[in-house]
Amino acid sequence: MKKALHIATANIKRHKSASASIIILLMIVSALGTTGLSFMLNLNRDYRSSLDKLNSLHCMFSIPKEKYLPSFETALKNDTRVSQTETSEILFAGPAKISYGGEFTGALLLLNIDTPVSISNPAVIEMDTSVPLRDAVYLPTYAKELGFQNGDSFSFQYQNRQMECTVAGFFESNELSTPNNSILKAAVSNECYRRLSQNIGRHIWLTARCYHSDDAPGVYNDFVSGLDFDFSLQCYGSAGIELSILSDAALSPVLITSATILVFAVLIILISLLVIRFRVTNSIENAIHDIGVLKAAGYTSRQIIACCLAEYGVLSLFASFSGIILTIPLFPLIRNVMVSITGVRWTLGINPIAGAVTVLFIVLFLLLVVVRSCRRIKKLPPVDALRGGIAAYNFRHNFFPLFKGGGTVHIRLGLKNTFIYGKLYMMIGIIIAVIMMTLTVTFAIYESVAVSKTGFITMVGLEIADAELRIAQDTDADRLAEEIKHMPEVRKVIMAETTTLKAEGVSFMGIISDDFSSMETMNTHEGRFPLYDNEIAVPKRAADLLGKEIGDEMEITSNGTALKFIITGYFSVASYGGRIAAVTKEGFTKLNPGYKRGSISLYLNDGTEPEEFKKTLANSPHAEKIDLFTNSKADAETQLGTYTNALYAIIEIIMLISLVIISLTLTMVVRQIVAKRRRELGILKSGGFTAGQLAGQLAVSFLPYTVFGILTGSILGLLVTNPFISLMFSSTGVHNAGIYANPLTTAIIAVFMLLFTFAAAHLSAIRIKHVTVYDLLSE
Amino acid sequence: MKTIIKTKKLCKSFSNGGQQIHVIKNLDLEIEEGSFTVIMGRSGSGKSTLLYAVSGMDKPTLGEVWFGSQDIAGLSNDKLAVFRRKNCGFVFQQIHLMDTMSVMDNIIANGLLLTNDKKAIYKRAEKLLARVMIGRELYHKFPGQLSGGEAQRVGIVRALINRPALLFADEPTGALNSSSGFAVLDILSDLHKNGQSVVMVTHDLKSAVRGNRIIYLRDGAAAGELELPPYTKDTENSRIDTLQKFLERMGW
Ligand SMILES: Nc1ncnc2c1ncn2[C@@H]1O[C@H](COP(=O)(O)OP(=O)(O)OP(=O)(O)O)[C@@H](O)[C@H]1O
Ligand SMILES: [Mg+2]
Repeated sequence: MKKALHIATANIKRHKSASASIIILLMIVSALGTTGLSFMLNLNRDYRSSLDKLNSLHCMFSIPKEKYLPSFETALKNDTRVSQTETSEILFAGPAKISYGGEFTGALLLLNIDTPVSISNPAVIEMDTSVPLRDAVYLPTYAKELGFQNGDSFSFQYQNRQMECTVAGFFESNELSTPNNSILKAAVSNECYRRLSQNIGRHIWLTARCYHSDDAPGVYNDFVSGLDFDFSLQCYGSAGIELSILSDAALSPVLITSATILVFAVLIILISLLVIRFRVTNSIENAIHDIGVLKAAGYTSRQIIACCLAEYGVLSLFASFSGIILTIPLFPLIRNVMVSITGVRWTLGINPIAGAVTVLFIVLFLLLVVVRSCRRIKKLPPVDALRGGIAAYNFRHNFFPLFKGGGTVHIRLGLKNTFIYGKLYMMIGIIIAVIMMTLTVTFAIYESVAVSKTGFITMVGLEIADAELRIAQDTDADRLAEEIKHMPEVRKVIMAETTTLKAEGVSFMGIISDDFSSMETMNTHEGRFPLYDNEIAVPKRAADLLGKEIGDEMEITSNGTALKFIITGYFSVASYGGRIAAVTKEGFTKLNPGYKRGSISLYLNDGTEPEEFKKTLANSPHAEKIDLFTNSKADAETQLGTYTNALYAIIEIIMLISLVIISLTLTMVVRQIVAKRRRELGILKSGGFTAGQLAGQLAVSFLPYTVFGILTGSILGLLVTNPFISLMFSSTGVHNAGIYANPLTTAIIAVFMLLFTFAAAHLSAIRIKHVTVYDLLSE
Repeated sequence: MKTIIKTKKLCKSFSNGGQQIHVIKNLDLEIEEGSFTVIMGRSGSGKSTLLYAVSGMDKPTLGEVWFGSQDIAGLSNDKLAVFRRKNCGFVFQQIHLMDTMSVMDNIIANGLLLTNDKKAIYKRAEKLLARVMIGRELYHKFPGQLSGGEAQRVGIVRALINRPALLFADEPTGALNSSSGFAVLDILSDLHKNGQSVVMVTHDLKSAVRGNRIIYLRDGAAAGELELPPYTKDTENSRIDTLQKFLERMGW
């Protein structure tokens, strides 16, 4: 064994470049595997520990001061699941139009920095004392991702008044720091607090922490149901939120981006394993002469195989550990990206189990490959090994005869090799196909999230119209909707209101409409939307959660009334943990007899900007009937902004790794072919072929397989994109993502890949130049 | 007679682990058009090195190699390749046919470097193959299916396909049995009789007597020369005697 190890290390040193390429690929596999697994294993735990680190809230309620009673806190405190409660006075501006990385409409909670709290305390870092205290506002550190710096102005519009503050510092926060929950938590100095309180109402901010963070939804629901308070219109008048909703907002961007990374990691790992298998098999085949020499000298097959196993065992251990070490500096980078997407102060780390599993997998895989390729060594008599192992090619067919047919001699010589080394080239074809497919899918995600955004909104599945109007108290909403529908800029008017309700005791978001068939992005994939007042539709995920099916009855509670509804269908949606129920206007009125429609959602004709239409409306006789105009699509896009940068980074990394793998594989195969064809290339050179011509022939010989790979990959990519993305996000509640690859983009990537592979093949083939005729001919 | 190749102070050295080995030293050599030049010498004396240096296969370290009015010593690798394809044919001891291609394609691959006329090249190959007694039944066989002698005759046809000004042969009979060897030599003699310039490296007396000029190489320099009248079969034995005496004088 000791001898085997000795020969093994000597072999690794001798075949430096071959070993190097295997090591690089194994390191990539190990780094991706460890990172991906650590993510999957740690994500939830890390999120909870991030919460503990900042003593972050699990439930919160913001209630107007005049309506608040001390018994509220007592009720919460008496809940045995609650470990800590706290109240403090804050300012509550909602609905407000907030400039925060684009504009969004939501609620702004302003804490007083000079009266510290213990739950979710905004402890300011990077304080800028030069800002006048009258203006000083402190934002979550996430704001820095949006470009805020100390001294910048922070403004919002509340009750038609423009409020201005100046950023004087940042604080760490795990919640309400992105626009994703439509609530932003910030803090102001005591002086600023007093100034703003003249125009903004005072609220009592009631916060609680639970012993087990999983109890948060239960605590929240029980508290809310004991209260005749409507938190349904979250940002209007009062607000309440609990951890499962917060973590949805925090985790889903991470899950989406990490799912993208993971899928890609799996593909890269597959490709790398394919390449490694090829490399190992080949280097053992190439060593067959040496093996013959060893055999002739009296080594047994077992000893030789032990040598090979030792060689690749050492190699794989070294590479997989280096890969893990590589991820150590990588994790802070990933953490930063995650912080920038979610606004949560992540405590992320490598999971030792993930590392161990990765190492074990890599070592076992490699040894398996070695054992398989070594099987031939066993059967090989030494004489055959000395002669080169395999009897020279047994050719039957002269591919692409040179004396007939079209094309220049170079193209035909290239194509000849395409067939002669078909098996070798086929691997490249497959790898390129897989990479092409991956790129197609990745770009489809990128385009629908970062470029057009609507694709992503469709995928999330919530109906988001171009604009939403909140209607003044005593207005007849249906009549106003009918009038607005006839305005020339308006394409369509729909009703889509949200509320909170309980289904079988679990808190749900309710969507109320009088005509679900007019929805553009909300879709049922099984059954249909409710039509009558006793019907309801939910996502499949929610039905599974409650153990229900289409046709079953479900108890819905709202406003203290409980009624049975029949499930008529499943729709696809990826927010609110899938806990969303669609009820008809009549159905909801049965629960809430006093219910009045309060909003109108509208779609505008192509070419009409919501902001323009807002002006048109303001100058129309309808103006006084409208309290608030919300540019819903712009709001949604502002919220999506958090994904854009992350995805952009991912695309860049994926492109880079793809190109590295392609170049590495091509170089490896070209080397292999040049080595195999050494003599033949020498003969051609002596006959007067230039190095450039021979390199060109080599590049041409790859073409049929790269074209094959690119075409197959593109076609597969176009076909699988939607099912693939749907599958990827199925855990978030998406049934049909509705994201398709753009054929034009795919074609552009395909052309780029074709040029790139041709150039890479040509470049790596030009090494023929440095070999003289003499070198090539002497074996 | 016109000179076809002329070297001036030709030097070729190799570095071997930091040590310089001077294989060819200041060699001046002229080869006439239509001659059959034979290079002899001990193993390691630099015969192959010289052959490669004058034929544009390798670049000399120093000195000039004139081909007509062109000094090829300083040409780039690509220019040398073009020079070779136009002017030189090579016959190797190890024959060096490409295993992956048929007999015909082995020949035509080189032919198509100078013309795109596939038909014309095919016809010429047919003519040359007939001349070296390779039948049609072998055209589409692979080198692995030929005998050594057949393979070398195909090798000669490949060397001739572009009508080279010079045919270089490095031990062309080295890997063949004597009867196959004779057939190959007869072809070379025949070519020479028809005006082909030939430069051949050999160890073998029976091969060497085919030439009309024998150069003896010692330590990278021409130690002596022997002129012979044109070869005929009946003078073979007397030629061998003359050559043997010359070689003895050279210390063979
Ligand atoms: N590329 C090279 N690198 C290093 N040394 C070389 C190289 N080519 C030739 N030599 C050395 O130059 C010397 C002459 O070699 P060459 O092949 O010309 O001899 P030769 O006369 O043809 O011998 P033989 O009759 O055995 O074929 C030898 O010592 C050889 O080792
Ligand atoms: Mg030699």
